[in-house]
Amino acid sequence: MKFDNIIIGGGLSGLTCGIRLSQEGKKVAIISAGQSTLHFGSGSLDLLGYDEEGNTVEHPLDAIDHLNKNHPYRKIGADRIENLTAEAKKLLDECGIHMTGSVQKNHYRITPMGVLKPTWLTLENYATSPSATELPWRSVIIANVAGFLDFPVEFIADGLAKLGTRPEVEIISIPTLKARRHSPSEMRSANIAKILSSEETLEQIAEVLNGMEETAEAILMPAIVGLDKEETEASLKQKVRRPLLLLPTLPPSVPGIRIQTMLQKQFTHLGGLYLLGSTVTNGNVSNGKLEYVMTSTMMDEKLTADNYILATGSFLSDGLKSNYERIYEPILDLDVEASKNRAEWIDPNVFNAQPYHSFGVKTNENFQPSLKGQTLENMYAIGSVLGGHNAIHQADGTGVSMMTALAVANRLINKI
Amino acid sequence: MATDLQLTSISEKDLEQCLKCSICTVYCPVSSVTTLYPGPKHAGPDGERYRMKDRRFFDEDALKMCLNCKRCEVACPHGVQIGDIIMSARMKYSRHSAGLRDFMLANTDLMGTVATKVAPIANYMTKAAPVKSILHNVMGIEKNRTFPDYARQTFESWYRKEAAESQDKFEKQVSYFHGCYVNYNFPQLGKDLVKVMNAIGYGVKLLEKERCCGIALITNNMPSQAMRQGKTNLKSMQLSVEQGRPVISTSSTCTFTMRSEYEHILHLDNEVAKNNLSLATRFIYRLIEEGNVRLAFQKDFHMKVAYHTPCHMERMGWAVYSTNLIKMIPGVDFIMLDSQCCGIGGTYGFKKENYSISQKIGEKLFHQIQESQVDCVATDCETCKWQIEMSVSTPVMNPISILAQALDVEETRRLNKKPDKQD
Amino acid sequence: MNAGIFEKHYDVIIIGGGATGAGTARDCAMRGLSTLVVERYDFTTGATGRNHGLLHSGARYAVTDQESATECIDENMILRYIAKPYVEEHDGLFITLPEDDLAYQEKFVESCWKAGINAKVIDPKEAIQMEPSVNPTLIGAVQVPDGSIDPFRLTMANVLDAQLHGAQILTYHEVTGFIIENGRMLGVHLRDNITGAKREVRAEITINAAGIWGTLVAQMAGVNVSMFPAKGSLLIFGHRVNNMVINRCRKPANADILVPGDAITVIGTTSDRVPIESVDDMHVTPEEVEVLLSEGAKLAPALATTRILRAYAGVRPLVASDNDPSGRSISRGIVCLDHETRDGLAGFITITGGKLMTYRMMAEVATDMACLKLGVQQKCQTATTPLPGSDKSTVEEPENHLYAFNARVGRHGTLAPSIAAMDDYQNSLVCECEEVSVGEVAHAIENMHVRTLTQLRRRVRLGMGTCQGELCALRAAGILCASCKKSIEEEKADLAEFLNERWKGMYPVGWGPTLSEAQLTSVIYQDLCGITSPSMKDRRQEP
Repeated sequence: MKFDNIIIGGGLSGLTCGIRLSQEGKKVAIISAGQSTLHFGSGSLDLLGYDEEGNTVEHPLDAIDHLNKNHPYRKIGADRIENLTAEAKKLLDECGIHMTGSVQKNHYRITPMGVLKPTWLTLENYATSPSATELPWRSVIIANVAGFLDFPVEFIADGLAKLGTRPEVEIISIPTLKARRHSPSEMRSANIAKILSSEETLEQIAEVLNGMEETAEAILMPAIVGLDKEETEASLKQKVRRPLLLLPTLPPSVPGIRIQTMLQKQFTHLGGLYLLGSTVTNGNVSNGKLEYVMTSTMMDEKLTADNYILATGSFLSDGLKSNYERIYEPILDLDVEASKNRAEWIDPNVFNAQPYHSFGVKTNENFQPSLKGQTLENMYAIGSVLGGHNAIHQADGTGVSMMTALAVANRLINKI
Repeated sequence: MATDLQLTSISEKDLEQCLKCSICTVYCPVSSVTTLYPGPKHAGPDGERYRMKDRRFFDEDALKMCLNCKRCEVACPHGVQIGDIIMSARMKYSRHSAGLRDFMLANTDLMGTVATKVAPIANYMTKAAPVKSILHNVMGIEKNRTFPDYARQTFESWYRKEAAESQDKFEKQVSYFHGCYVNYNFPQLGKDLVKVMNAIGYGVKLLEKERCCGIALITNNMPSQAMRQGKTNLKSMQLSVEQGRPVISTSSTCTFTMRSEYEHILHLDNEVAKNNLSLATRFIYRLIEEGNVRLAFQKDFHMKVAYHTPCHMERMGWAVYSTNLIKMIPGVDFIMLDSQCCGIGGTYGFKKENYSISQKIGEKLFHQIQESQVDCVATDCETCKWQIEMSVSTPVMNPISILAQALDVEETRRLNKKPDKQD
Repeated sequence: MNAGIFEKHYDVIIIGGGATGAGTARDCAMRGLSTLVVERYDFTTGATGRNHGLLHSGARYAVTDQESATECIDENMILRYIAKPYVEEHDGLFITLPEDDLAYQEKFVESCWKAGINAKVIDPKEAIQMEPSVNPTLIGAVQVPDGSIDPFRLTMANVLDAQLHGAQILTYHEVTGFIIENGRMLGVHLRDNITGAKREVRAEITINAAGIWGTLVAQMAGVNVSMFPAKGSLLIFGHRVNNMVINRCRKPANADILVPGDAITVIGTTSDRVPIESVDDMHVTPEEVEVLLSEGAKLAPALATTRILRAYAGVRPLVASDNDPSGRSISRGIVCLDHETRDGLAGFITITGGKLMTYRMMAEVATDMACLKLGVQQKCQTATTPLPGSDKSTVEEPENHLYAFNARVGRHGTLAPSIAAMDDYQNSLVCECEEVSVGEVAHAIENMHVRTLTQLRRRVRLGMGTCQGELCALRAAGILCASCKKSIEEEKADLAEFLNERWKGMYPVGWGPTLSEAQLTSVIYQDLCGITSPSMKDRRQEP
């Protein structure tokens, strides 16, 4: 099969890039080995939350110039990032993913531990604060579903109290949710959200929420509604008399899954081919160009394209692999930026910046990777497979995914 | 010092690749609708670690709830063969042999052979209320299910009488693995395939010996019979390939079973299937794409079609071939349905204990079909077809049958006839 | 809960909450002595919790140390009876590889028989059938009654039984000095390691059962017990590779025992003398990992490609007797020192040497000595009285959730029914890898001296599975909070500590799926949840 572009990896970066290219009429295929890390997401997209020393970043655009020169943002250039963020916001809107936030100034999301973290965009209907030191409410109800262990209310309540908001914890239930608890292992956010997808169950939940004492200004609830569509959230909000806001839970992430679904829908709607459950196993490089790729599912079918985009993610997505001897990129064994000495991959304190988090595929300024030192002309790497930054310590993973995806897409669009 | 230490992580069905991320649990159609099934993570890799320690950790009642759709495997980012782990555990640890009900449901060949001989009676009987009541109460076969009709004449006997002779005149040939459904219930699909293949210049032969692919034997825990039948099929495929005929099928499940389950569950050497067995839609689409075949369509053909991706088609990753082929038909107004399980799971939904789960799983799909207001649903799996036809009023067709209807056979034949080969 | 504990005058204070300390407490309490156990941290934090978990048949020592071998097989049979649910009776193989001397086998079997160990030479082909993971190139095999034992649960059962017989327990209380008057030890000075409070408690006899730390304890009392700290490193593999213990039939060396236990397999050990100052901070080095892997793969080739979950190291409390640099030839025998006759310090006993297998016998020897001094006539009954969870009662199978039921019975034996499993909440899983329910967590908090996640892990295996605490740590932390034993801040610190403790075992084997797993854990706890170590957090609070 022949395409204009083949994107390997169907997560946030792969889909962003795929949508952008499809918008320009390109014939694009995304080959995805499985579901993406959006399933562990928070419902927010971070651009840059902390600098390399761990200080909170208030104005991300201003901080970019201070990043190390290997940071993907530096390769794009601070001046272009602002435009790309606007493009990203527009793309998300067009997909029906409605988020608020500004690239000029970070706002703060509330974590499942009740901690504030700086971020760029957050889904509408999710609880945020403009300030790092206080919350917009004097008092809130934290309403958790009985038996749902992936939302530690004690920590959240404590976190909110420390920020000066009086929390009140309420445990709620309705018959269908109670029945779900018969399964010891499957009382999970996504399963609950599947139950809370009918008008009938939303009515019941709303009734419970409306029955609470009307002292608190807002109700905070775990992100257990809106798995398929935003409308479910809106419908519940509309039924509840007080402001209702959602907080992320432990995975699986309902907001993350919805972002994934919406992006995927948009991509296929634009004519893209999304192959899920198919792993790109190898490819053929000749004269500095990737000629085709092979997959785990399509037998002898060679998939060819003018340009190939690697968006396979980091270790936890198998975009990078490691063994007793080395760190490597598993499809083509592209050159990687990583220490050869295993002892240098890690830091004995789990909370220190782990060197391996910054490892990635080595690329030039245009995000083109190389194989044994030779740049691959028709290949690009985007998203978490790139190194040069520590997404966990800098809160910039989702931003890097979207920015590099758009930078590469624009390059391919403008090339002709 | 040894140099090959820890370069790869190898474990049975990639059990150890599981990062416990719980993504698979989101996509399990069964645990979404019932709490009786502990979900793919728990039933699969989590449970297997402890089953390796002690058979007592095998919870047969729970594992039996898996409908073998493999959607967990499609979702898994690390290639853990979650569904295979569960299915293999059922075979490895179960001490129950299949009962009469499961034997009947699984032995599609045997049942088909008997039933087609007395097709009108069989069809009447399986629909008759008293019989259904006995099936339901005594045997545990769901009374709300309608068995597909048995044909009066099997596909094989039609083929031998009507088609076999003319196939030899084609220079290029394929072997057709028709499967039980085409043979006993719906020979028309087989006839459609012969029509299409002949039109594009391919003769269609049968395999020397074809047995049911065995998927129902696998899911109903009859591995030794499944292995016997598998070996027969693989041997016949080998012979066909040696004679220059690749093998095609019109059933996604049969194809998947022989390409994947034979290896992963039955541990058969199925290289011949992995390299040479294809779905007819894939085979045809690739011929067209490579420029070796051209199709011509009837000018007045119009159909609004929605494609449903069967679970095993999703696992194979081949829906693209069937849909691309359908989309080539100029008169087709195409809609892609969300890829989700219809709930039947082969024989799973025929068991009375699973009926309500089965229907609940399919609900969203049925709803989407009704909303779409299409003339027909296209799908590559016969059991999906039964389930959808039993649940909504929209007819269901195999893409090959749609192609057969839309094709301008004469023109196609002309387009694909090599000038020097005219007879 | 500790009211009155410090005012009492005890017959015996036992220092150390390992298997020996707990076993001694049980023995003393069963003989009617008023008993107090003081442990500076949690139970099983020393060598007890850092070994193979091998139920030795004694065969390993048969050739080099008949006395230890005999002790082992005797205790082996006793443990099968008194600690049934904590023991897996799967037998072991001693294999001879082409590079080994097959002639050793004959001597080995003969020595086993002499020690009373039922060793049976079997055909290598039969050995492969019995244990398919074994190195197929083996040229000889001997079957012996090895097994595995869970040292955490074994110790806890001893603690529970000691308590049932009236013993008092003080964990997180460290001995900082002794009350000694006129050549007699009258009691101990204690520091509460959580609050910092200082205390003293008095007893007729103080028994030093502090393992390798016993040498430091003795030092505080002014007596010299010279020990040989021998570090042993081990690796845990992700699932059961083997179902029988596999040993090398040769003189004991590095990495020659492969033990299956619960859902994992352990290879070990190395043996290196380490300075006594370092025993509180043991790290597994890359060199040790290399040795364990390359030698281990000779026992079972699959180890070369099996995921490794963790590496850990313990320190054996060998009593120094010569200049053997490896410590391999030092007797594993029991040493019980009466400091009254040895050093002129009355009321003080040190029990050391030995090994997990002989903990009960060590306890018996020490208790015998204490009883003699106290003039108590009661005989030891610990060899014939089953431990809690090991009695003959039967546990009824429930209709559903069989898997969870078996996990509970596996961990708690006949005590399992006391774990709440009646309603949906109690049945919900906290740790999915190890099938730990809310009810079991609550049970441990209630009955097993649990106030931290790490303690919970030692009691019920929470966080010991494939993912090493990826989701369960936070779920359990929530439950610990709700149980109201501590402040949220404390629990947050506990969670951070737990994550770091898990990482400590992962990073020495941080490659392949284990490294990917660690990254996912970081994504969940640090990126998604925003958990930071206290110092990081302080920094981040300042914008």
